[in-house]
Amino acid sequence: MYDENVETTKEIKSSPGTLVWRRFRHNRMALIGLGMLSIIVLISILAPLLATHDPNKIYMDKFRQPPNDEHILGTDSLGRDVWSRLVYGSRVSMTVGITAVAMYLLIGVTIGTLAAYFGGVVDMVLMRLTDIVMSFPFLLFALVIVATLEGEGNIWVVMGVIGLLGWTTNARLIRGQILSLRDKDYVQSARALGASHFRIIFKHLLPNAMAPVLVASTLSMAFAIMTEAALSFLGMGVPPTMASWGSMLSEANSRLVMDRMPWLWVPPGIAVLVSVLSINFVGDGLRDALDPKQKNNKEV
Amino acid sequence: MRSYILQRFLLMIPILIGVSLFTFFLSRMAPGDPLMHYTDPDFTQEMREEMMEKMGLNKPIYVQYISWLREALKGNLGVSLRYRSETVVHLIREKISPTIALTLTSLILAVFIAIPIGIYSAVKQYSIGDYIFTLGSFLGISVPSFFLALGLIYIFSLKLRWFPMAGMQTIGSRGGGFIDILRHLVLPVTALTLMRLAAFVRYSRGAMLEVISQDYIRTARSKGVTEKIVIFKHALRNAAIPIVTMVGMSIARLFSGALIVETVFSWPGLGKLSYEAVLQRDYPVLMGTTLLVALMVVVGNMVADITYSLIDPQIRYD
Repeated sequence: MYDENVETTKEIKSSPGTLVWRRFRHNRMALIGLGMLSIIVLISILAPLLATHDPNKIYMDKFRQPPNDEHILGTDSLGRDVWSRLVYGSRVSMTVGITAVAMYLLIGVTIGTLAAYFGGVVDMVLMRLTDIVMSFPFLLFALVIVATLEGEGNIWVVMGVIGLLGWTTNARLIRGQILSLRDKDYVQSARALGASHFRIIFKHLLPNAMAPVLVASTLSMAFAIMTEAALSFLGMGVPPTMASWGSMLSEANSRLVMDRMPWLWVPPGIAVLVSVLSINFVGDGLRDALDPKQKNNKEV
Repeated sequence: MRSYILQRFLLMIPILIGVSLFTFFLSRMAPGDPLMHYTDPDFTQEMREEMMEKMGLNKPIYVQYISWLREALKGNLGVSLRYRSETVVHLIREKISPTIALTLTSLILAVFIAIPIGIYSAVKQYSIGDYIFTLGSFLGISVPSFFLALGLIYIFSLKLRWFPMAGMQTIGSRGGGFIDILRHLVLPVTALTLMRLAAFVRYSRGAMLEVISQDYIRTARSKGVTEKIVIFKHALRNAAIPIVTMVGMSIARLFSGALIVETVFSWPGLGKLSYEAVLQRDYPVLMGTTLLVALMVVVGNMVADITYSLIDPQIRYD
């Protein structure tokens, strides 16, 4: 009896973070995803140690070599070491993913919060802007922007484009959340006590509105990584000298490479697949962990 | 209700103007003049300027936009810079059927395969079948479209030699006709379907799960309605709302997928046309295709919203 009481007190006292982690831990797919993602992050940090060669060094005498002792995944059409490029490619994907999510959060949360909090004309203008950006044919627009700004490809342009076109989901989510919180009693009382807009937004509204946004942001990191790979595959992404999984895959545009040299295009494809998959696993686990309502559904 | 639909229609106008403005100014910001790729190197400066003059390219950019808009409203989208004699409208008309054949087939296949799987997964939640489908749909949403397309070509075209790897018709075949086109359609449709399918399965499973946990389903069960009727009549009808929205909202993604799939498979459709227009700086064509795709996206979203409000009378718009 006594023990049980202690247990309940502990339950109440544990922070929301601990609770979320406790739920997350029980989701096997989410844990596997987190594990894989950590490995990929580790690979991108330790790239200089893991790479056996300089990823950009051209070995003139040995291009398109099949895997061998010297080059464990062979060499590409320019005579560069495929394994080293694969390892360094994780850096591009992770950088693009993280930057894009940061931009989604910054732009999406700002626009959604302002629209919901101030309402009226502000809401109208910001939401119509969101509608317009949402109606952009994403990939086509990204291609146009990259082609216009930087014919040769530039990782900053790519990250900027992906970030600028993808924040709409976050804006709509946060707007919905804040609209439902705005007139809650605790916010009203904060207002009555004379709290500033700034304090109400940052102290009372945003912390309670962030859960679905975090989930959406995690999932959109996967989308950002895929988009970068697609742009680079289409020759409109990061510069060709930079090792990116997408541009490595564009080797398969040559029929000979596709047919006879799968080591050139299968590994980067699998790398993109594994990173995106693990992020999706984590995002899905987060959704279940942050949204106890859905958790209950699962037990029905 | 009627005023809601009207309001949605009116909203399309600023959205489409916004999209066209953005595309127009952006594409003109590119360094170099638009004719750079399309004139002989031995053109004299005067010949060039004369050409720019004739095409109205040396006027201020907003004047160019207004005259473009005026013509566009009359249904004239200009002439392609690349194919001098072709109008943009003609090019789009020529390329739209292959794209519709590709995307519509994939969309229909994806919806009709996904919904039964989604229902099965939701009803038999946590069964082995559910795990397999869930894992499969995770794989499906995580595989890059071009990698999937390349993989399909590698296996079914290069190794097994079952299907052709590119194009819409066998070159030189004198109209092998319908069957020939169909054979060329199989792989691109498979690629596009698998991608949409994965997203739709996840969505319809979620929608079904949400509905199944509702009180009225418990009521139906407890009053002795057979499981079959509970699922297909009570549950599915309500789960249909989010599923309809999902289909309407997926048009933008569908087109992005088509752009890549058409490029990889050399399928002569709008996606490939727009990609080439980007590469070749064929601005009039680019404006035309962007606007068309934006129009389809807006209409898709609108239809989704309106259907949503028709199916569910609880939703009110003010």
